[in-house]
Amino acid sequence: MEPDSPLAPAAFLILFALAGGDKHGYAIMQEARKLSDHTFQIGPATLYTTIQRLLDADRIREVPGPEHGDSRRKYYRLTSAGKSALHVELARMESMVKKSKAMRLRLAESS
Amino acid sequence: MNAWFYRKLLMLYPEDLRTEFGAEMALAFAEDLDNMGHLRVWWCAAGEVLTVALPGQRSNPSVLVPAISFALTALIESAEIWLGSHQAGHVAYPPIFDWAGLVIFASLLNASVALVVTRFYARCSFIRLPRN
Repeated sequence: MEPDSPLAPAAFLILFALAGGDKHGYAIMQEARKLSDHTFQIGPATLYTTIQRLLDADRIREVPGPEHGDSRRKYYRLTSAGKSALHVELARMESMVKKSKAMRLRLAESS
Repeated sequence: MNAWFYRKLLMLYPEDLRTEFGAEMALAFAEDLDNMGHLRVWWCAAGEVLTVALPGQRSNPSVLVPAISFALTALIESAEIWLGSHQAGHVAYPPIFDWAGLVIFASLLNASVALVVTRFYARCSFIRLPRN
């Protein structure tokens, strides 16, 4: 993963989901679906392939789960590199939203 | 039954992903079945075989060769049936289940042969085909 390249939708949603706190895979999957208003169909394979890439890129890391949690599950946490990548992506999106608002106004004026 | 079949389906995924996350993927799939409904979850799983599993196996001939063989046979068999129906002078398609059954059977047969040949080739040190 290039440090400043735009994030793939699955990677963005996973980082976004983890910004709210440590989560296990299935909780990330549910949160990612909720964040995308169920428009992005993320399944187990997409989820764990992306988690694998994010772990390799050091954007998330595995952490111990709660004491009485399900021992079969692995929990994940955003690293500082992950927070920074999410911050850059959110800034990119905000900039895009500003531009799209300006474009919408221009289109409305011209019609 | 669903969980068992999904675990078998995991064989199509790259080995490193399966080893590291296979158990969790199966767990997430089982939970999804309870929460999202069978049809939706299986549709998503089938899509992921095409978008995640097969592209991830580009360097594994034991999956790639049978998959290509399956796809090509399905294509050729479908075209043959379609052409055969037209050549007969009138459009008389065989019943859909016969047609689909024939295509799937022939494709699976060819994919199995391709798998056996690929495995055999991988194990035989005395066969070395030129790669260039």
